[in-house]
Amino acid sequence: MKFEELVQKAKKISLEPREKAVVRHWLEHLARPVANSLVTTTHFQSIFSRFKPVPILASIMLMSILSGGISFAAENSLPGDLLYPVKVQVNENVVGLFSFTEDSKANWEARRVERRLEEAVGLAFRGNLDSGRQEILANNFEKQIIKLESRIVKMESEAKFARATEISNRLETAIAIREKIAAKFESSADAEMPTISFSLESAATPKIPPKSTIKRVSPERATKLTQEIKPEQFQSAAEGIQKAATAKISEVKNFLTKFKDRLANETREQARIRLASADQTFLEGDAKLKSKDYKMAFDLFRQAHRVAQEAKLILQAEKEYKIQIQFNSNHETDGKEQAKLWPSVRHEKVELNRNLNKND
Amino acid sequence: MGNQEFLKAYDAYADAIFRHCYFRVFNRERAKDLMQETFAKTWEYFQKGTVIENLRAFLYKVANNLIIDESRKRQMTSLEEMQETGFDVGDNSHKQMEFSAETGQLMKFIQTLDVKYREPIIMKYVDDLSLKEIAEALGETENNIAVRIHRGIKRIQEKYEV
Repeated sequence: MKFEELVQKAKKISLEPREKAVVRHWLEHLARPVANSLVTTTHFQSIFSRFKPVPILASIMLMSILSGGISFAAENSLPGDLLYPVKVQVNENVVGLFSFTEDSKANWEARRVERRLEEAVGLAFRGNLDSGRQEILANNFEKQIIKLESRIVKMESEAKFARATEISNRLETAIAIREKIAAKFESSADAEMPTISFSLESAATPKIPPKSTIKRVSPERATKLTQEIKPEQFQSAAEGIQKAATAKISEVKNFLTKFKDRLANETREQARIRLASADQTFLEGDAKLKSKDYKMAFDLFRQAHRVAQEAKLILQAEKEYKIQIQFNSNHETDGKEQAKLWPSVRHEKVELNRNLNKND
Repeated sequence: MGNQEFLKAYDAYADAIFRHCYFRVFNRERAKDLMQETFAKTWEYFQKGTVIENLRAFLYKVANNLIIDESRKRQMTSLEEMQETGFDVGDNSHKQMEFSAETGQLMKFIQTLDVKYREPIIMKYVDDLSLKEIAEALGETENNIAVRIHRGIKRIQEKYEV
């Protein structure tokens, strides 16, 4: 064989078009502009929507902090990244400073828990969930949960049951999915998967964040709450959570419509099933409200809200990270779902491949 | 470098970087992961403010560093083992199996070459890099690279009479 022939044969070695497309998709996500980040935009929009009552000096301060390149760049950072402390200790605390009402404070604290969840998914996707990053993430997750829990308890003590339930639903759904991510890494380690990572540093078996963090919040909190509400308080509680469920279902439907082209068929189907279930439960709640069975109405609206919130997180995980979260079809609504993440990033690649095939 | 420019670089160089990794680790899946990691690291460097004058050469430099890290952690698959198990070149289609046999012969040539000759030869003849780019990626002078390529080719010709 001549040397030139050898060279020509060597040049034939290349990626399959499908393999190349899968990695490109991953890189598109990695290199997406900060301003296009779902977290960043929704989050900063919410800051500016609260801008009116803020004194001029404070506005200028906020603008100067947020318009700083470091601050914006930090928004897309993940635990272990250089700018991550800026994100958590500067950006997020600044937003907290401008959350004046109890309501907005609670919203922001729930959002912070969800941000930690998104970071866990992000790290899992990147394959960078090594022990150091997990520790940072677990500590931050724990801090946010403690803050949010105390906020929920305060709301309950002030008889703000609808808001307490809404926030509690967000917290529990985030925790349920967080547990599935942890379980994913456990199962990867147990099965001695070749790697859960694209990163060489994280080839070692990852440690799972302390479960004590997660277990502190009872999945039956909302159920217990219904036992604490006095009969005369159920009507306003039911009407409050009804509004929250309406807004949540509408938000998820809009999300599904807006991003349908970027979601796998299975994910869209799962979300639709859950939305249909939320709609049905909502209608039942409506009927109970009309028949003045406020306690039952409260419970049904709470369930509808929770199922819609799960659908939202399923859609977000798929849109942002191409990670599919599966729930049993006969879902219940008090944290008993059996969610399943693909057992390894390698499998995610395969699944992504399938999705691309279907989209051809 | 914007994200669009980065993605264009991926479209242009992904195959070459994959090939470069493949000729070093001789395993398709690992080469694919290394290629992916090369682009991710390059983006990370850029985000941290690293000035990248020649992106192509920089990609090779990152890939080389990753390969060195990889080789420290894992033992390279031996030629004997590959001959026993067959080469991992993709699916089992008829076309791929034919290609596998040819690739096996090619691998035999390449793997027996000392790495200091193998790298610049592949980079010059397979990846079509200039001497300057190879020198930059490998941290050597252009003169050194030229000498290595010359000696490497001579060794191939002596050993295999190609």
